Amino acid sequence: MKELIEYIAKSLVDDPSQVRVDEIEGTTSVVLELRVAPEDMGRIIGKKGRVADAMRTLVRVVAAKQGKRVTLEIVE
Amino acid sequence: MKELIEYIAKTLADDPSQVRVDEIEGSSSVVLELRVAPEDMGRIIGSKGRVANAMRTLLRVLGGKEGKRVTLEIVESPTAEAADGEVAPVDEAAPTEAEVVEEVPIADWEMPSDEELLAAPLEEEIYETTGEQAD
Repeated sequence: MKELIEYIAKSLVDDPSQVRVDEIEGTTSVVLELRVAPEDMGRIIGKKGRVADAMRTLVRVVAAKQGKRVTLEIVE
Repeated sequence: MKELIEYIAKTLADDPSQVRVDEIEGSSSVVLELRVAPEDMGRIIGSKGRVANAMRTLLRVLGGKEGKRVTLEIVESPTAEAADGEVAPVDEAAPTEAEVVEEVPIADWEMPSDEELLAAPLEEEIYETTGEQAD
């Protein structure tokens, strides 16, 4: 899950070197914390959060395969 | 762009070996054709097309960086088409009834004489073409 978000975020941003994803894993749920450069926040969240929601949709499919719930948080 | 979709699709699919992405590039637009195994079609498209649309959203951002419009098409993998009848492929190249050339039973057919052949007007096209090519 972490790898998927990392790959997507690095593809979208202008500064891939500042992309960082931390995975906090519980028994049934996973929290992913995505950090990007301040200049890339807009692009990674998107208008009305569309890009962030797209990433959430994709990572939810991966989580479902493992029987988990996932939360994607975007942190500055 | 191709790589992003390939990576996402391979992560989501149960059978990553059947994931294939073809990129057809124009001057201002790009068409991506994503093929997955029939068993993975549901997961790749998602309910109400949510997963497919999520991929399209990401592609739009990427396309925007290059000033291109991106179209993502999801096509069933041709290699496993027959394995699962869930989505019946429409064979567009198959002739419709009207286009089938009428067959004369062999017993009723006689070789035309030379005079008949010479007198017959030249036909430009003996068979009507469908104008469409098989995929």
